[in-house]
Amino acid sequence: MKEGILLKLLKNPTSKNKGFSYLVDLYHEKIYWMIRKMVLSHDSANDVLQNTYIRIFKGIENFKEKSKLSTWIYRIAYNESIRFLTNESKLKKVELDSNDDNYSRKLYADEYFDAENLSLKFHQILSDLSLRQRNIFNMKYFDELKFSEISKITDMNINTIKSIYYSVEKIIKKEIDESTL
Amino acid sequence: MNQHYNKLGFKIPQNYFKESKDQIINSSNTKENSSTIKNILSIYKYPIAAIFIVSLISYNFLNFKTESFEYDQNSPIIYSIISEEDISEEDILEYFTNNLTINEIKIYK
Repeated sequence: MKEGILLKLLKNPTSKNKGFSYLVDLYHEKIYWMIRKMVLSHDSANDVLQNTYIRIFKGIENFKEKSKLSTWIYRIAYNESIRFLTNESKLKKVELDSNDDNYSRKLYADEYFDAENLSLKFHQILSDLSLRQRNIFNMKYFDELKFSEISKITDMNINTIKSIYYSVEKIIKKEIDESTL
Repeated sequence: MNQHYNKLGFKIPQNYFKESKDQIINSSNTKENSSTIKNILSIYKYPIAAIFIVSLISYNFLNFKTESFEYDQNSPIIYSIISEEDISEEDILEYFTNNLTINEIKIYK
């Protein structure tokens, strides 16, 4: 279904429910994985996902169509995840440029994590990155979003995003090459 | 979900996506129903308020009676006014002594 048609359904009170079902069908897995990569545990991701849908449902009338609907949805999911991490860390604002000391602990505590060798190595590299670097890398590498979309979601300059992504990519390649030697 | 996700080792409960989708869609339907009731209420709340105010004003207006002022015709001042006589100082003093309570002022040492 095209975004334009979906938006028409969502903005019309009589077809809002139908439109919302289509939206959930289209974006459910994508939103979940985006959140999961940020909050790590399945249960937390499930909670954040529900809050994200509540915000989407309530806010759809106010969507100004300045960006694609998908970008708007990812932005809500991103902000909800940041809000969750902030509450979790009990800080006023989560530090995007600092490392998450609890990364490994959260990962191992989750029963829905398969600790294989490659996964462990990959997460070890990711845990050394700052939250900002990790989010940008995840969105590009796993979610295959465009740099322009990531820029709108994170509210950051596109060139900064590109430079962060390529530097992280270099670090990861180097680490994996060294470990396989 | 692309092939890179395998590197993350993330798993999900069986049928998670199907069940969570259904749950979210069902809860949105419930919300929509309750919001429809709210919408109906929000449409009718102003006419209801207007009817209430209008009926309140009409009721008060119908029951409004000009209060009749009762006065003592034997009072020298009132009598003087009615009979268009001059009011003497004595009459004024007498009126005030009869009608005003003078507070006692106590001075403590």
